[in-house]
Amino acid sequence: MPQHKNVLCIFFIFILGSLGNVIAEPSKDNLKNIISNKLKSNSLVAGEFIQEKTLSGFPRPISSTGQFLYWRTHGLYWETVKPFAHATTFMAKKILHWKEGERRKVNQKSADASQKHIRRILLAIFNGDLTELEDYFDVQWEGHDSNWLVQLVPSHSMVSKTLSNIKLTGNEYLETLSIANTNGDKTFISFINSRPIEAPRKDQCKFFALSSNDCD
Amino acid sequence: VYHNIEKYSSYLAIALGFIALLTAYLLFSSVTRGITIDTDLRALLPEAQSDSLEKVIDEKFHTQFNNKIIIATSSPELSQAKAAADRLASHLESQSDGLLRIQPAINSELPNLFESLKDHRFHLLTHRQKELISQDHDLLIEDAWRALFSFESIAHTSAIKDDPLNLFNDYLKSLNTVNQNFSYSPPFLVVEEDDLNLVILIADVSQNALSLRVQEKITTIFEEIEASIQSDLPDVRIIKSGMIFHAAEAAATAKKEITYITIISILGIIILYILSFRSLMPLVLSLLSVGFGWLSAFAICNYIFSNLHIITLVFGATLIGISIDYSLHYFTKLYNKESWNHRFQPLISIISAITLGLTTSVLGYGSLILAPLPGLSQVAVFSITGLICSWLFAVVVYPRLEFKHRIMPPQWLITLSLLPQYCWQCVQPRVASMLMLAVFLGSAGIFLTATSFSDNPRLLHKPSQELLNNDRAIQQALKQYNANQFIVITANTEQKVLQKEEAVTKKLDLLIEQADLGAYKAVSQYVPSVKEQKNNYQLLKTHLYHSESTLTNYLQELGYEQDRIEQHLFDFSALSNNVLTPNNGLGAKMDQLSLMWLGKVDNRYASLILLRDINNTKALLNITENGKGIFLLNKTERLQKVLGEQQYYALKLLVIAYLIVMVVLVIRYRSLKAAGLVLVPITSTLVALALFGMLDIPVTLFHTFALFLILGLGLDYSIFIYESSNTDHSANLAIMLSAGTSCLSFGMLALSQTPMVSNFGCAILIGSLFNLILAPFVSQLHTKKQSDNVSDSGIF
Repeated sequence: MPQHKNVLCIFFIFILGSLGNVIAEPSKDNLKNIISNKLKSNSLVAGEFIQEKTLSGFPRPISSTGQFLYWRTHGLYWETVKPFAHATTFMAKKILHWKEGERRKVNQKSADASQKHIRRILLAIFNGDLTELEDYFDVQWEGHDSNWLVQLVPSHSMVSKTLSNIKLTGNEYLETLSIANTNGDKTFISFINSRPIEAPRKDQCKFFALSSNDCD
Repeated sequence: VYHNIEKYSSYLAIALGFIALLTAYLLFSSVTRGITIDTDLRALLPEAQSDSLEKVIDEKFHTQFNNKIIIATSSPELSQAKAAADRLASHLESQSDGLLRIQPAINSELPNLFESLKDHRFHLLTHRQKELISQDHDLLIEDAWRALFSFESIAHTSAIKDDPLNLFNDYLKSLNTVNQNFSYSPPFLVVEEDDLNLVILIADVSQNALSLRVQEKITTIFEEIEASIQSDLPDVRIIKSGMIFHAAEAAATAKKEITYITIISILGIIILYILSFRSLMPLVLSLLSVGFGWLSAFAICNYIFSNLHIITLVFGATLIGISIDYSLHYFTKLYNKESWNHRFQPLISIISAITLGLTTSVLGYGSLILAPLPGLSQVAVFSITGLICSWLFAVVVYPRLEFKHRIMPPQWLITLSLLPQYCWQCVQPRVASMLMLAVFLGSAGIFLTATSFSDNPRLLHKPSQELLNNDRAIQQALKQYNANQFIVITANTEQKVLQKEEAVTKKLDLLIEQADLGAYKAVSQYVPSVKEQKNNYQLLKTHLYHSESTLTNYLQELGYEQDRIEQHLFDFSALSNNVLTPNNGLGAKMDQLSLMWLGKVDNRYASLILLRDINNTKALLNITENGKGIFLLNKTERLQKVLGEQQYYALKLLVIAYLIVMVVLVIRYRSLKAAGLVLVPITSTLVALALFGMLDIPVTLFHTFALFLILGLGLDYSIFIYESSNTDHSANLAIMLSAGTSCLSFGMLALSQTPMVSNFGCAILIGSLFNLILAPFVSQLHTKKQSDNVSDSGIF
C-alpha cells in the first residue's frame, strides 16, 4: 500500500506538473502580445553582441564583436569593434554610417530599396512591431514569456529572393538573432549583457544626429 | 428668271436633303461608337515629321506616360497612408469595370537584375571601384570586410564565393540607387519624406484616355472614393497625376464654356429677334439654320478626323455668330416690305451679298486649311462646313415658307442701326477718308512700336493650380526625370552611342558635383560599352585576379582553401568574353531602359540620357556637341519654336487671304475701288493689335487666327453696306443685329479660362465692334449706288 501511495503521489505530481505547464504556456495570440510588449517596454537598451557568419563554401565561420545602443524613439546604433571599427545608426527615415569618428550619412537620395527594407525590418524587430513584420513574413510564435522563439519566413517575393528565414529568441530582451540567406550564408548574433539605461551618454547623442542639448 | 431660280433651288434642296440624311447617319454612328475629344495642345501642332528621331522619342513618351495614372496617399502615419491606399486600390478596381488596372508594386515579370547580369559581373564596375582597384587596395579590402559584417549583407543576392570583394553587390546597389527612390512596404511601394509617408499606386487606363466617357467615369470614381477617404481618414491627402486628369479638366472647362457661350448667345439672339421682328417664326427658323449648320459640321468633322479637338468645338460654338447672319439678312429684307412680287424676290435681293460673304469667309477659313496644323485644319473644315450648311438651309427653306402678318421692325431700332452710317455721313467724304486714314495709320503706328508677339506655350495652356501642384508633388516624391528635356546621343553603331554616352556622363558627374544638375540616368550605366567592359575586366585581371594578389591574400585570410581560390580564378578566366550589349542582356526587357534606348532610327543608333533637377541649362549646353551627335533636346523650346513658326506662317497666310479677297472683289464688282472694301477689316485688325500693344498683352498664335475671322466678318458688313441703297436700311439693321450676335458669342469666348480661347475671343470682340463702326465708310467708295435688285444678275 505504501508503494501504491508513492505511485499515486508521483502520478499526481506528474499530472499537476503537466497541468502547470499547460497553464503556464500562453496561447499564440497571448504570446505574441507578451513578446511584443516585452520588446516595446524597453525604451533604451545598451549591450554587446557577438556575430558569427557561416559563409557558403567556407569551412569555418568568421566572427565579429561590438556593442549596440537601442533607443526606441530614435533608432539602433550598431558598432562593430573587431575585427575592424565601423558603426551604423538605423533610424526611422535614414541610415547613418560612422567610420573612425567620422559621420557619413546615407540618406533617402542614395539609400537603395534593399537598405530601406533592412532598416525597416531591423527596427521592427527591436521595436517589437510584430504587425509590421507580418507584412513581410509569415510569423510563428513558440515558447513562453521567459523563453520565447519567433520564426519569420518571408511571405513576399521581394524578401524571399535573399532571405530564407529569420529566428529570434529572447527573454526580457532579444537574446539571439539568426538569419539564413538563400545563397547559403548564415548569420548568428548573440546579444550579451543587454541592460536598460536611463539616458544615453552625451557623446552618444551624435550617433542619433542629435546635439548633446537635444539628447535629454 | 423665277423659273430658273426655282430649278436651281430644287437642286440645292436635294443637296440639303442629302446632307441632312448624311448628318443624321454620321451622328447616330458616332454616338453609338463613342465620341472622343482631344484636349492636348500638341495635337494642334504639326508632327515632327522632319525628324524621325524626335517622332520616335514622342511615341516612346506617349506610350510610357499617356495612359498611366500615379496616385499617392500621403500621411504622417504610414499605417493610415496604407489603409487609404488599400481602400483606393480596391475601389478603383471594383468600380471601374476593368477601365483601371492597378499595377502590382513588385513586377515579378521584370527580369531579376542579379540573374540578368550575373555572368557579366567581371565586366561591370562602378567609378569608385575602378579607382580603388587601381589605387587603394587597403580601402578595397576594408570595404569588403565591412560589407561582410554589415546588416546590409543579409540582402546580398550573390554568394561570397562568387563575389568575395562584394564588387558585384555594390554595383547592383548603385543601379538601384539610380533607379529607385521608393521602398517596399507590402503590398505597396512607399516613398519616405521628412514628415510624410507616401504610398504609391500606379494604374493603367485600359481604354483611350481621350474618350469623354472614360474621363467622366474615372473622374466620378475618384470623386466618390476621395470623399469617403477624406471623411474617414482626414489626415490623409490624396495626390493624383496623369495626362487623363489634364484632359478631363480641359474637357470639363470647355464643356462648361460651350454651354454658357451657347446659352448666352442664343438668349441674346432671342431678345434681338423679338425686338426686331416681334414674331417667333424668324427666330425658330434662324435657330434651325444655325443648329443644322453646327450639327452637320460636327458630324462631318467627327467622321473625317478620328479625334475632334476641344478647340474645334469651342470655336465651333462661335459659328452661331456668323451663320445667323444669313437668316438676319433674309428676314430684315423680308420684313422691310409689306408685300413681295414673288416668294423668291427677298432672297434674290440678298443672294449676291450673302453668297459673296460666304465666299470670303470660306476663303478666310480656307487659308487656315493650308496651315500644316492638324487642329486648325479641323477648325477650318468645321467652320466652312457649318457656314455652307447654314447658308444652304436659309437659301432653300426660307423662300418656300409663307410669312403672314409681318410687322415692320420698330423705327428706333432702324435709327439705332443707322447711327454709325449717320456719323460717317455727317462729315465730308474727304474728311471721312482722312479720319479713316488717321485711324489706320495711328493703329498701324502703335502696332509697329508697342505690340509684341509671343510664342510662349504657357500663354496658350494653363492647367489649374491644383493639377500643377499634384504633378509637382508626384514628380518630387518619385524623383521623376524631366520628361521635356534630355540629352540625345546618336552614332553609326550601338557601341559608339554607348561610348559617347560614357564620355558625356563623366562630364555630367562634374555638373552634379557643381550642383548644376541633380541626377541623370543613362543606358551605359546599365550596359557599358564593350570597350569599357573589356577595360574593367583587364583592370581586375591586372590588379586582382592573379596569384599572390590582394584578392588571393584576402581569400586566404577568410579561410578560402587553395583549390577554391584557383576555382574562383578559373571562373574569372572562363567569363572573359561575357560582355553585355543592349540586346543580349536586360536592355530589351526593362521598361526603364526601353524608354532611353531608341535603337536604330533611320541609318543611325540613338539613346537618351534622362536628367533631373536641371539648375544650369547653359552648363548642359556646353557639354553637348550638335555636330557630333550629342544634343540637348528641349521639348518645350521645340514647341515654342514651332508655335513661333506657325505664327509667322499664319500672318503670311493672312496677307495672302487679303490679296485673294481683293482680287475676288475687283472681279465681282469690276472696279478697282471695290478692293477698298478690305479697308474695314484691315483697320479693325490694326486697332485690335494696337490695343493689345497698349495693354501690354503679347499677341499669340490664337490672336493671329482670330484675325482671319475679323477679315470674314468685316468683309461681310462692307459688302452689304456697299450693295445696299441709301433708301433700303434693312442691310444696316441686319449688320447691327449680326454684330450684336457676334459680340455676344465672341465676347463670351473672351471670358474663357482657356487662354488660347480667351485670346481668340478678345481679338474678335474688338475686331467685330470696329468692323461695325467702320463698315459705313465703304459707302464713300461708291460713285454710283447699286440698285435694290443689283443681284438679279447674281449667282442664279
